[in-house]
Amino acid sequence: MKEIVIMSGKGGTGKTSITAALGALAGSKAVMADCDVDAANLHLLFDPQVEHEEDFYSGKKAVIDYDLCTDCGICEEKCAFDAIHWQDGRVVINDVSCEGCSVCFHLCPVDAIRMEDNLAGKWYRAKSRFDNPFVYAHLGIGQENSGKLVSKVKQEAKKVAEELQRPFIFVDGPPGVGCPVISSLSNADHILIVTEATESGLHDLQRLVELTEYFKLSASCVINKNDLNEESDRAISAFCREHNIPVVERIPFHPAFYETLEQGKTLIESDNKEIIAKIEHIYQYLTKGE
Amino acid sequence: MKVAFTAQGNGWYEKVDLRFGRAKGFFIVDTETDQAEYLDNTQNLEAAHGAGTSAAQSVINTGAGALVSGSVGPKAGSVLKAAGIEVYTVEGGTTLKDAYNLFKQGKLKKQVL
Amino acid sequence: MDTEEGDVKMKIAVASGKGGTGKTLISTNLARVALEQGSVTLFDLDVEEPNAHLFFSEVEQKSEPVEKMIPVVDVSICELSGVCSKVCEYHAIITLANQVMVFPELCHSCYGCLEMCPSKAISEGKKQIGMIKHGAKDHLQLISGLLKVGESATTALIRDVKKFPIQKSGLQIYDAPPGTSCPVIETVKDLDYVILVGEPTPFGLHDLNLLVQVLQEIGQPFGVVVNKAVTGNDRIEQYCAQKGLEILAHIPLRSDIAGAYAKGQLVSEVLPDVKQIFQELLETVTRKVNGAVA
Repeated sequence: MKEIVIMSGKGGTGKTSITAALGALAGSKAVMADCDVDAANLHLLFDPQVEHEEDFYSGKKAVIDYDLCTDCGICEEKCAFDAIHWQDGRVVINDVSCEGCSVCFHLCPVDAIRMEDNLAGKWYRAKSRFDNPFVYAHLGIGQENSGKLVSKVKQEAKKVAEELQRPFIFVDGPPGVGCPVISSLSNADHILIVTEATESGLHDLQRLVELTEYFKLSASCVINKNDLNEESDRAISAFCREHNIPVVERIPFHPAFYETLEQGKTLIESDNKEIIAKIEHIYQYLTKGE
Repeated sequence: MKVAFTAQGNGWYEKVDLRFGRAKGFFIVDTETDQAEYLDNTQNLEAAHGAGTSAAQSVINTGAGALVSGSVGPKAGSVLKAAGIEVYTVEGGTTLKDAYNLFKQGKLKKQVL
Repeated sequence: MDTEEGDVKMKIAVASGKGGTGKTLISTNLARVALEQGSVTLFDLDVEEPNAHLFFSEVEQKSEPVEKMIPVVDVSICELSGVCSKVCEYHAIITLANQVMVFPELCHSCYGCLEMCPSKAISEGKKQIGMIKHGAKDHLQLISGLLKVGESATTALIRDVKKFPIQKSGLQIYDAPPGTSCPVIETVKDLDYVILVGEPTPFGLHDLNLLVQVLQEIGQPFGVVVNKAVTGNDRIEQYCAQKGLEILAHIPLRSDIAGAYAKGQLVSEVLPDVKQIFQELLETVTRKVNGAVA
């Protein structure tokens, strides 16, 4: 089984469009996992039928037991996140601002504060309209993606792939280079970096390659909108050559990306032969030897 | 000396977990007696933040002098380095038994921290 | 309602569920048309990529560092009790046999270790997380936050930038960071009104809906601006009608708007019909906020 993670640094590079198209090509052969949980969009193109859903807890929240609270106000004074306020003569914790640091819990002189597990969202196991087994998650109000949730989604996707004996897992990775990204890289067999021919595209690529090299992961690159800026296109190609990262495809700016999204379709359902051929080529590259 | 392996489960035929911070558990072997014990890592696996540094603390607490894993991140790596723990890496799919034999034969690659 | 010069004293945010929807286009042009009536303070809290200043190059900004607290351990006092490591929920401070290591990137500056160290060996250190850039010209004050690359303390930085002293009372506009999590909540939580910007694509509507849920949950009044509006596409209109939400304005998908914006121009300075859209938007929002107060 081969786990391929599709990453991009910043948003707007076409990463999700390409991931969705790869999923549509693979059909039941590939398990799909959406780890771009902050802006999980894959399900909009996959029209999933949910087979299983489960609550997901991450971090903690402080809760006050008013039977014990003596209104001393130490918690309000010591909270570094401005999450505890006086309201109608008693201290009240604002759930959205609470970062779960536990300082109030430790300092409360009468043990009136307890730390409860924080419900961060839900994760789902489903089947996409292309017959892919599909694992994704939704975050609750104001919750942030974490390495833990990415781990969970990947772990469930792997379980499904093992159970059903599917040869591939395609993971739509989170943006940035923080903790969720590092989690999404771990145990991966290959990283496909989707970048665009802009200055920030090169910058994001460099930061991602720093990580793939640190973790000694095999990586390849797709330059999307490669005709946007010739100079950036050249700089990205040179960078890839220098770091032994094959450039699998270059895709010129094309309204098909926008038009298919507008219709809730994937790129391989567009009527643009050139783009379909390019996606097929990427798919073959990623799945060769299996 | 004790050597810690990140493990997908408890037993010599379980595989090495390539994750460090969010590994399922640690398989700790005493190289003098070949006796093994297992330390569950659920607590770190469930951590919302800092799973790497927290797992490094767990490994240090076992008294291990070496760690075998897939790859250790930069923060956890600096903790292990400061504690004088050598880190070695293995390929995916290696069983704990094979990894231990490779370790004893000095055939594992050292991760430079 | 008559709005005399300097009379507008409301605080409004411009927010969107994802980047690239036209948040900055709206906040900067709103500021531009509001300047014709009185003083404006524009806060750019899109701290990972602040770019409102590109549209007001006449304002010279000065920079000041923003720091957060990180623990510093005095090794001559430390008894290696390990309490700091036990209480740290972020695993940012690790006790070894002969030393204590601090990881500033993981630290949330909660002061827990400092409070609870039994030998009082921890004191307050500083680490720079970003900059506040500020400047003023005539009736405009521009205050931007800039997060240091690789830093994750977005919310803490926003909290600090919002506290920066304002020179003249008047309209305050806050360009919020994109997304639906803590940074955007920190930005909008004590303001009078939020302008939500949405694009009429399926992804755009999905992201708009997420932010609508957040604002409803925290009880913030808001209205919707449809950006890149296309005739015949009423996806957002249908959604708003169904949810009982108000649409404040439509900004059409037009190449002259995109072109002016890409060149760093304020569209309300070069396109009179677009200027009118922003004037009407400002009037609508002013009416909403004053209506709510009355």
